[in-house]
Amino acid sequence: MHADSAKASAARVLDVIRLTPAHFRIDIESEHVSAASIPGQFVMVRPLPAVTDPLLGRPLAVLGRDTAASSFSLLFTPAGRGTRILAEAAPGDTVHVNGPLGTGFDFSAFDEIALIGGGTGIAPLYFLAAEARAAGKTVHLVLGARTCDSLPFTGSFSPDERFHCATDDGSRGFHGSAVDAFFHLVADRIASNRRPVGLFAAGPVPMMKALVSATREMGISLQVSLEARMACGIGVCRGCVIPARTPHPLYGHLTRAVCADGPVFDASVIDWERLPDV
Amino acid sequence: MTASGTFGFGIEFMEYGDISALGAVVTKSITLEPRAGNEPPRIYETPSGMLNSIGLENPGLEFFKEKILPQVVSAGATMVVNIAGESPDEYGEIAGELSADDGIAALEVNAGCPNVDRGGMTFGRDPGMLADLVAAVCASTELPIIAKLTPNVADIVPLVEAAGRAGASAVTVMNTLLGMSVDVRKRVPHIKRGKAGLSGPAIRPVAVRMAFEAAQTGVPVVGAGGISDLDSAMQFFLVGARAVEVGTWNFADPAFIFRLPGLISDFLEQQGETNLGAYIGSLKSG
Repeated sequence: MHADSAKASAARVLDVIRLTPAHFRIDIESEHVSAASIPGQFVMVRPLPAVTDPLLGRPLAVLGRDTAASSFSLLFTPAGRGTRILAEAAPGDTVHVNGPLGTGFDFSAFDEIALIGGGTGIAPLYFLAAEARAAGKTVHLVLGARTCDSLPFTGSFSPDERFHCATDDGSRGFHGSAVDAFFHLVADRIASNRRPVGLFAAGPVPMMKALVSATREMGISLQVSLEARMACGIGVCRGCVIPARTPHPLYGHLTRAVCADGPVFDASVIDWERLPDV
Repeated sequence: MTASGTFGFGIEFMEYGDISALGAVVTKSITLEPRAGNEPPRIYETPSGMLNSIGLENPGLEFFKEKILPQVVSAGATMVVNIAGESPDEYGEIAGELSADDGIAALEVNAGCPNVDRGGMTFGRDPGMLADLVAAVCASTELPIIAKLTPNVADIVPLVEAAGRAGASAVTVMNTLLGMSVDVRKRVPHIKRGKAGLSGPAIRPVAVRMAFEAAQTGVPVVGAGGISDLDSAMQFFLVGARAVEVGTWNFADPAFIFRLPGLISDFLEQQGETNLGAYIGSLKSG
């Protein structure tokens, strides 16, 4: 009678691993999230026993899943109190998980996909890369960072021609932005392959704006994953609304809720000029 | 009951529980015309609370009636439609379009939104204006009227009494407390409009105090403000509220409200009470 719903319930922490000085991975047991998640979706997670400060769940994109173990993983950078508490969680602790939530990436129409990302929002790209590779797609991954060593999991990607790291200081990989790296190292090659190609991006808004502007003339499909401050994660609080170029299919406004209409959007839907950079 | 603005139109929560088992689903505020809401940022978390300045974003009355209401009613929910406007006439016009035939049980009049330029909180701060507003709504509909009051007043009692005299069947105490938070490094407000409504457990003692004062008038009170667990819900009943609304906590745990009726039954049994009515207002002096 007092049971939680399958979608919002207590879940056991299996492991918390510090991947880099800035990145943590938390593995959580949840048959529902593990089975139901698609790349791009997120969960709202908060500590248990319930506390009122911090009050709200933190929206974190699913990094990956292990369906055999009924578990999923999240990637996060401790930035505020909510994520610092998560970083201090131990195996056996419980957390409250609501999800999976929102829209995911759709790569079904493409034979070859290019993933471009940077910053703390790159988690969904790893999940997307894993699922797309499992589906037999050719996957290019271009990630930007201050230094290549500050990216998690670089070791888990075989150092082939399809994984590129772009760094601000040029210490490793391409010297420049992820968007520049994509154009210098990947764009020409995928264009010459004459196969259906899709672009997928996750990262800071200025990076996305640069990518949108640079790809506008290419006539290529671009799906982006946005981050936003959220309260509910399910479209009811209207806290994470962003400007859109087309009317909302249900409500008619020129807006979208990042949580419920996204976080993955076709880039052509978003009004990038009016979208704040932060 | 669900607090307006924290539960969408109810359909968004059907994955988390049976909305027909709730006391009532109170919708987001409906206005005559669609509203796109305020510029972001609209929300900011504060200690045990959150600030919001959504600005009554909603699809408007016509769309609500045609596309949303039938879905919620067919799910079996007891529907309370929260309405907002810029003048008593406008509130009355909306109320006139909503009736029991549509499957609506009551209307909640938002007389306290702090986040709009016109209407909103101004009605809820003056007993005369509030009475005119409630009377205009009552004249337009046969449905029971609940007046949702703002706490941003020196004394809530004259407002509760004015709403009751003007025909409100009950008052909801309370809407959000007006608040503000600023970024000391960027030197800008955390919310685009600056001031915003504070909700969540941080405001609970204020809400309990105001519900207590309101209940003394004899006007039926719906208690709302920072309920996040069984005990906080029971506090409102103990000081005299006849019903409670869960608000911001729906964001933290969307399944909690569906557990609450069962938790209340268990609690009453432990307290040796046969029904909730006997517990309501049974506060002893310290």
